[in-house]
Amino acid sequence: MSALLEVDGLSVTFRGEQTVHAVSDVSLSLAEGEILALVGESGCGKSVIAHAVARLLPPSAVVSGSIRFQGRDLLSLPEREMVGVRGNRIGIILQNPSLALNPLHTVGRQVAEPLRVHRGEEKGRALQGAARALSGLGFADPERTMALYPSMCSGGMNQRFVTAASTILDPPFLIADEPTKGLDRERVGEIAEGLERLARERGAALLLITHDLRVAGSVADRVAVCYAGEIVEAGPAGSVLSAPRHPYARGLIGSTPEGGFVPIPGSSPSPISPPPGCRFHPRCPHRTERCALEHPVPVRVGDRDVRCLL
Amino acid sequence: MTLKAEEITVAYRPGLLSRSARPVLEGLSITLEKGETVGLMGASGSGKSTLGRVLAGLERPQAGAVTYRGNEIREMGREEYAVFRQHVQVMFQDPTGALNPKKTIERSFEDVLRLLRVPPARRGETVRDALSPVGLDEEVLPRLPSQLSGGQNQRIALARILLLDPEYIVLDEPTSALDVSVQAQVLHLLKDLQEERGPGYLFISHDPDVVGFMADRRGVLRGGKFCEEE
Repeated sequence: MSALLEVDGLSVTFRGEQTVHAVSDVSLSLAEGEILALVGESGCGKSVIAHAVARLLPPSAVVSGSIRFQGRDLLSLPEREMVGVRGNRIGIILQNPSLALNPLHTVGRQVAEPLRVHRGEEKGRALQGAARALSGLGFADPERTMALYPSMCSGGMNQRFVTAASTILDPPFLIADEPTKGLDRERVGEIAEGLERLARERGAALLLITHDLRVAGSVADRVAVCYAGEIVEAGPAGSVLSAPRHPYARGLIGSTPEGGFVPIPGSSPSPISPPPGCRFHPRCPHRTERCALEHPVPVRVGDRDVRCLL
Repeated sequence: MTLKAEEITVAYRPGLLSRSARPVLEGLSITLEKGETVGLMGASGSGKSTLGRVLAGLERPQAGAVTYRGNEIREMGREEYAVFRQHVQVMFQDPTGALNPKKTIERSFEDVLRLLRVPPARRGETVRDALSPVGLDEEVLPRLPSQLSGGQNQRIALARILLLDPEYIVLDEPTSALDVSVQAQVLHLLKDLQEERGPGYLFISHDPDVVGFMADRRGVLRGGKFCEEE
């Protein structure tokens, strides 16, 4: 499998009254057809990484490093060309489908929109395409579904509409930002399985942003664990989730129901003033003096990369 | 001493113009003892939160009665009812929604202290004493809820509730908006506080793992009734 996406040394800061260090020195790659889950807790920078790749960050964001997609450097691409990449080559499924959908337009019109905008298809043909896309996502009566408005549908249904619109152009790369957030557990499994099936059937790569380790474990080939703007551990999903090496990854998995709800002491550091040395050291049960002084870089350990001095 | 809801029926009209009301709870009874945790599960819309609000006196049922210390709350005098409202508290899912976004944490605490008639000279000490069991310190006081994390806000909501020395707390999805590591912290905190102070919890959640971890007894609501109890 060749690399479809290569992110190297990505850093994102937000300028305001105070500088927020949202993402620091993140490197990751994604092969064609591969599913990578970026996991971590609120504020760890995982959504910012996804938005940086899709070039959807606000003007206050200062981005450095490189993001290469299909051999092109996305960060130096003019916005006009980026519009053609976004949607067409990169499908983006944003969290909170109720906000991603226009409440005043029917579902059919919104699912068909990418076909009209990117491919210039006429209305009837685009709506036929939308009906096929909805049928592929399990809607038994797509014609009826297309006449609905988002407010008439459940969160799970709206999530599937957003997925249909994002994948209707058959992009080789999908970004799904917390697609299961706020859904009931049964819906979570349904949406996660649906996304995986969609990506596998089409051979598309998927960057899945999620705080849900179960979803990551059931869907992803590889997992990258984010903490305080950095990736602290990345490797095959099975081994990272069953035998994590970084103390934060171990703590995160220990705090899940499967891990027995064992809490990590303390709280995540402020992105305005992250601690010196290892960003996890104030909470780490294994810290040494060196951890407070030296900032660790990712080191290859067996089948994965771990950012830890221990 | 128990908190009891007996034969509770609640129905809502689906629209202003509709004549028939849709029952959410149908003749449902539940008892909560001090020091125990009763888990309440069920799908969205099954009436879990409605039962919690009825038990805390925030919603009046069409039929049935809530009794506290053996007395029905509808028949209580003003003072007795005030005691009931002080000692039966609710902690909601969204901690930022429970705190006024325009007030600093210190001012949010002051509202409670005024109600409790704590003299101004003792308020600082009282707040510090309330923050300590939830693992926070004075640093949070000058901040607004938006400047704190979800877990910190949930702890503050809990600290405010603890000032009232509650005998029962209805915990309505208290950790479902929190990250897993913060969820684990809050669950342990609730268990520790129960061990130290002995309040009874009605723990409402859609997550069977969380209910399994917290509850001594549990019930599952479906169609306005308990479909499972253990």
